[in-house]
Amino acid sequence: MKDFWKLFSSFFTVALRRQMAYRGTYFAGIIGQWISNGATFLGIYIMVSSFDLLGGWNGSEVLMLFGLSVMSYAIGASFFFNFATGLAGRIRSGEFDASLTKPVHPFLHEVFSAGYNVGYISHFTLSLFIVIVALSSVSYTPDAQGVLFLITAVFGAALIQAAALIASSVLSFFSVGRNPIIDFLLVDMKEFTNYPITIFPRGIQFVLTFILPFAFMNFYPAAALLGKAIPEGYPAILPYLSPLAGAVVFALSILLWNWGLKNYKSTGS
Amino acid sequence: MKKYLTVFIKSLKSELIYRWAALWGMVGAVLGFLIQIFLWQALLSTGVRNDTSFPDMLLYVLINSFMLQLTRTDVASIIENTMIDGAISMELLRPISYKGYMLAQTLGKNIYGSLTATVPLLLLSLFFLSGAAFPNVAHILLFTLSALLGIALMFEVTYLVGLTAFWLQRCWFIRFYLNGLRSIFGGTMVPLWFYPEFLITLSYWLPFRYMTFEPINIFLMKTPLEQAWIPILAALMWLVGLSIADNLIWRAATKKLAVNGG
Repeated sequence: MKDFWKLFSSFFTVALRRQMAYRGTYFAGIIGQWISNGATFLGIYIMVSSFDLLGGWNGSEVLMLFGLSVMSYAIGASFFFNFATGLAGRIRSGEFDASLTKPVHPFLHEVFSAGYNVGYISHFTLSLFIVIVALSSVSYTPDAQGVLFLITAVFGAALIQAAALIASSVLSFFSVGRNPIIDFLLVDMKEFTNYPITIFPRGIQFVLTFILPFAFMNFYPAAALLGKAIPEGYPAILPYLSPLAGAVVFALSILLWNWGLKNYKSTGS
Repeated sequence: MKKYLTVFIKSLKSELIYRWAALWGMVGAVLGFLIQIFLWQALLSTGVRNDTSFPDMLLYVLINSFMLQLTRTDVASIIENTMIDGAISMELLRPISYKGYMLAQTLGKNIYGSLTATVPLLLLSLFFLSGAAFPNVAHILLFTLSALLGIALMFEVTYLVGLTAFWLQRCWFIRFYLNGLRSIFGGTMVPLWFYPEFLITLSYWLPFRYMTFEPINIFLMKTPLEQAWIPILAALMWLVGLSIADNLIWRAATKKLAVNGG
């Protein structure tokens, strides 16, 4: 375990230095992400508040959903974005094969050497700001219990986001071309969770809860915090299960990754 | 013109190889469209606003997504990458204008994906569009003109901003600014008619609303015939103004260009 931290921190420092080499670019990128994600926040807020309510949620409450989604993505993607999106390239060039010869598990070596992505500080700061503003505008009074609940929920949500990244990278073991799964999971499917899932048909609610459990990332915790209805007939405990759902899908994604690794044949380059 | 057509067809052909990508693009487009259908059904069922009908919104989303996809490009990153690997010096040797080359390449690259993604949406929306009032011929003609100008304008802005790559060297972030501003002031996510007054006023001072929002307004006949010339003229003026600007910037840029090896 001590070695793990030593390894992590030395890789971390290298990644930090590499990315901070272009300091101006780094800050311009942060502001750019604020504007780009801020535009989505603004759009959602304008949309919902011109109709007062969306499925029983007001503008600020719906903002909580995208807020939690962006926040947990910021955490999960900080550690796994470079790894997941870079894997195909590293396999194509043959760099990946070096990871197979290292004295740590290839998964860990890949994650560490792909590097922590410092850019996601921009997603994190913006979403933290939005979540705080949204909670205070619905006059939510924070107590220790609520804050603790939110922190564990975000942690679980970050594991779900990480799992989606890890799982989508598995395709790279079989095909090094464009990876459509990343877009499918992290853009197309996740877009459903920008809105309360109760506005969708039951089939979609089921998929988002039990098959690709993105609803645990933001909808269920927000529903618990704001006292909103969950889909009819679903167990009342669901809103509290985000950390569990996160741990389960994270473990599954690593199993899937190892299965992919077992079936991997080098490109020979 | 023939030269640009060749570039267009070449980049279209290179895109046709990615059948799977097109299929997944289709899946993504259908899912995104379903989200919009359920979302607007839920919003409009509140009955708070009755200036917008459900078919209106579907057409809005449909036209918007087609136009956005057709013009999707990142000129800044293309220039950035060709400057890093030195390919820019080859690009500049071509006997065609760089801007025309970029435009032909963008349209060629996107036409396949945007058509394959839009056709299923059209079929899907047939189920919902029964009660929609379709525009008359005059509106359709004006819409076509306005949409073509919009497409040109979207490309123009991306190109103009992309040229800053020559000075910035690293500029992958440009598209975040551009997409954000276009989404806010162009109404590509939420129609501008839902916006608060001050944002609408601001949007008149920027080119973004003439890209997709005004053309769609003409299609939905929210803009009466006798007023349609206003947004069309505005788009034209933006186009001319920005073209002059990009010309000047291009001249400065090619003088400034420094290729590191390659």
